[in-house]
Amino acid sequence: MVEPELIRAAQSGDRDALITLLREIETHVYRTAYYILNNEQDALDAAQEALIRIYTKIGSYEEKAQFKTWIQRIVTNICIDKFRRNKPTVSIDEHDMVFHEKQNVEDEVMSAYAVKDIQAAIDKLPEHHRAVVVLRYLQDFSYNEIADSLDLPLNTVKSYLFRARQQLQTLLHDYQKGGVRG
Amino acid sequence: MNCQEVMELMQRQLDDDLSDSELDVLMSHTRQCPDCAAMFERLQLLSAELTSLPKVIPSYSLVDAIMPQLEQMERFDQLEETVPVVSKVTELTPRRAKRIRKWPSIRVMSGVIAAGIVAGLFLVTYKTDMAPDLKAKMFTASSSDDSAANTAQEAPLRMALKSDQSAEEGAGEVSTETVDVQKNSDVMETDSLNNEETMKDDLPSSIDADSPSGEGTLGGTGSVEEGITAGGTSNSSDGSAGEKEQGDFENTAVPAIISPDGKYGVQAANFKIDVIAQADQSIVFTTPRKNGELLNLVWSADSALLAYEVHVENGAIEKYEIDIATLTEKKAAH
Repeated sequence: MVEPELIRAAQSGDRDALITLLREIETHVYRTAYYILNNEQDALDAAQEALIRIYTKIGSYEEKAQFKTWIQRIVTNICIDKFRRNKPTVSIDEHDMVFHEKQNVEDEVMSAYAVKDIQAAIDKLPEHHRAVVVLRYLQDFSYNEIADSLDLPLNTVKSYLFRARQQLQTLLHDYQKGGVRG
Repeated sequence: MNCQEVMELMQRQLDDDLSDSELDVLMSHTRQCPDCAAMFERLQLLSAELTSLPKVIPSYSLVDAIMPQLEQMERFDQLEETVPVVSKVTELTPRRAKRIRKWPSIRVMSGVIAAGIVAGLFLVTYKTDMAPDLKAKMFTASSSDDSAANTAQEAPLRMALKSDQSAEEGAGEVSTETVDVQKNSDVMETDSLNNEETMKDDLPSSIDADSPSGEGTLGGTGSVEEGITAGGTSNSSDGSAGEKEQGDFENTAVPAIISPDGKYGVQAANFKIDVIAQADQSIVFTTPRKNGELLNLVWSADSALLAYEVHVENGAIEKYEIDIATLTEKKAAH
């Protein structure tokens, strides 16, 4: 998404190139922050901090890594470390990952989930699970790219993503039933 | 294949990670297992929803918002690049020391004066019963090291030690003094403050970059600092010479060095020395321009002669004497 020439120019001290580069990536940086933090103001703050860090650290980027995973690593680290909130998240491990939930197929209402319900459900995930989901769906990253961004083993990424989706499915299903209960 | 294993196939299918054969296994299972079929449907729905989450964009340009910070960091970087040059000055090579004297003039002086006033007021107002931590706070506010508070408390002592000072200090000392004055700029006591102030008001030319000849008088104040930090011991060998001029030096408002009989004063500026009649403040004699720093202006006891030294760039020292009776100048014997 960012031209290698632009990155090289920015690394060699071309300040205009660096600013152009930041403009190209700011939306991607913000989008990740927005869905991890589930709050516009926090996302704006975190994204700005990430852009400043990218500005100062551009010299340390090495081409053997993908640039997009390098910047996502920076923004997810900021979101997870600096904006870590002491709010309860569901513990994925405690949940029974057994597939059979013994629910009536007739109960299934296959209507679309509301966007705010999905965001609320994502917000309940543990932070790394949340980051994996955001990179998979908002940045369209592959397993490997997610692993590079979060510095996690590939199997862990898959495990987090699968568990997160299962969890989201359960949460959203509960929301729908909760809606019926009023 | 049990349902648990199929679950992973479902998950991987959502990420397009299945081979054709794996996909066949998944499909044949869900055809027979309504629970798995329902779950797969829900997961596909979820995945579709996640894919279509709003592609939010920031409500304003983030890069524009951080631009002032980036520019500030840019300036800071440039500042950092110059810092090593300044700190090297403390290595006391005379040439470097001279360079630093070019810019301290007004800016540093005013800082010195302000800090001196603070230190002076503080000493007058609080004396020694103040809590030490508050003192430290006061002095760190004017950017100094820990020794600042201690040195400030010694300020009265420093005035006394002044009699130990000598005008005989060489160019090497001068560079130390310059650094010293800056480092301890916040602890300048009011006495030196007066001198600095009058230097600035009356003799702007003597602060001129390339004419450090103000040292003859400035050296007096500078060496006060030096004497204190060195414990007042370094200059004792030349004490007699310093004592001779000390009395007049301290009482005079202008930085001119007054002869023992009080008739004439001398001022070094712009590589020249002016002899000023104290009766009407007229300049009765000006030496020819010299090619080095004019230092160590010393009156003879009978006020007949003024001896001084020219410290040339290459380190050589030429000694001169001004005969006050004839208002002539000649090279003194070495």
